[in-house]
Amino acid sequence: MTEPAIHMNGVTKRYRDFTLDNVTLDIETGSIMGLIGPNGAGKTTLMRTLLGLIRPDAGEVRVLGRQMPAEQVRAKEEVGYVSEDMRLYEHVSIRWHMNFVSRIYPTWDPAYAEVLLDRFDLAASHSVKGLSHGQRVKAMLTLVLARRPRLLILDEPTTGLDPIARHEVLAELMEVLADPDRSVLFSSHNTQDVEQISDVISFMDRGRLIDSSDKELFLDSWRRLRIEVSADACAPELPNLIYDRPDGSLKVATTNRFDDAMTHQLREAGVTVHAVESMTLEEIFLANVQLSRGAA
Amino acid sequence: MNLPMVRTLVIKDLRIHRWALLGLAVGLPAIGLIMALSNSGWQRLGMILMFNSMIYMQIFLPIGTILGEKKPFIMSLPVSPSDYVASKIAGGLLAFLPTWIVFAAVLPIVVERDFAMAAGALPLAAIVLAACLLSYVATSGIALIFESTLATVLVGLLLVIAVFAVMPLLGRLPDRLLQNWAGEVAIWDPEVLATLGAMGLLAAATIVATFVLVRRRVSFI
Repeated sequence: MTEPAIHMNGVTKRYRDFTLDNVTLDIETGSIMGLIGPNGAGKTTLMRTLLGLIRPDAGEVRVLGRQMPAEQVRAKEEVGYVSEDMRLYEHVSIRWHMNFVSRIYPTWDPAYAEVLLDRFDLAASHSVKGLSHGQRVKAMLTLVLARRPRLLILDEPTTGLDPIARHEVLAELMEVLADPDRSVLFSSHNTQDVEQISDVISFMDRGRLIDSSDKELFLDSWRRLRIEVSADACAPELPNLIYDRPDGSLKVATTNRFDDAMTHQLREAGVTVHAVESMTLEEIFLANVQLSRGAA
Repeated sequence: MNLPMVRTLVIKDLRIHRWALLGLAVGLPAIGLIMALSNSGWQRLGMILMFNSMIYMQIFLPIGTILGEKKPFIMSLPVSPSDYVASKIAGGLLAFLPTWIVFAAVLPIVVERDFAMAAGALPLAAIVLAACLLSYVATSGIALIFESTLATVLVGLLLVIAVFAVMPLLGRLPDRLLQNWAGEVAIWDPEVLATLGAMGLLAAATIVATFVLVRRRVSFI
């Protein structure tokens, strides 16, 4: 069995006002994990821990089989990282950055770099200072993708992009992700982006990884139920069923373990099930956070 | 530590800050030439410009190269904390030393012509130069350790002021030293050599302490 691209076990990092709390996470080689969480959930801390830039207080981090942060140099030779707060040098050109990065990475593919520049409609001679936010993100992705990393760690790369730039970036990522040996961890608070490219989804909130599963499994197992409880009955308390509106006879409930048996149980309890609706990833995320915060 | 990577990062820093460094490389000899060839009014102006350049180097160079670094980008590359700190220290010294050397070449001329002092004052000039170097090393260390613009500016200014603040104390030094400094020949008294040695050791210790403290940082971003 091959070692996962990313392995985190019980990783904890405490700050004065925030704790990355006991995160355990595996990303298999070739898979694309979307990490969804609100601002301050801990996504960036988690990713920086993966790069060895933050030393955890407890737990184990391995990236491409390398112990982090001790073996960060060897690991980073095969990792491409782009984050929303990453900046390039203002007064030099994209070409200068390409030359700088190509000297560091023997795997740099100059032909592919030119292809990327063309696809992203970037002129290598342009100074970074004159680039829009979208162009800067594309320039950073060019610098990362052209060295053909085995693992991509992308921290909110689509944040702040206009729809066209977002589409171009996601389309390029989709193409890159066709390579089965390449693994990706992609964070965003835009669930549509994550849903589009990921095959595994993880939810983070308040420093904790609250759920992680195959995307299709998420979408299949979460349902919103519109039910009516007769006056002489009360809404049954079923495991993994949360009532969004507990008052009145008409109720909306969500569940993360939907199956036919659940509707059967509800009907036996005198409940009329009017509709069983699929949920979007965003709705699933919100319900998951609600469930997690309720349990905490 | 990966020396080729350190060299790459140093070259990168010199390239990024090339215009400021080029300006100093061209400007300082020009100022020195003006001071060497002109009357005392121009010499005083030149000396003021020279000191301003030293202050710029001591405060704004660390701010530009250390605090202005695109650290998330650089640290996403196969760079270790040791590589990063070593490149900042080495790059900073490489950027500072040309200015410092020009300053060192011009200072004896100024001491002799503008302050009507003879070669005997050279040991004093050497101490001033060593103080400038020590001050730069300390300011860079503060910038690397605390990563704070305010702390860097405050410490940089305090150290520059300190160099001038000790000047009035020179009158309280032993007469023998003062007489030597007023003489026609440079005499390197043991006290002078000991002071220069102590400053050199302190600069080296500051560099080592900076290196150790920064590379041991828990969060390197």
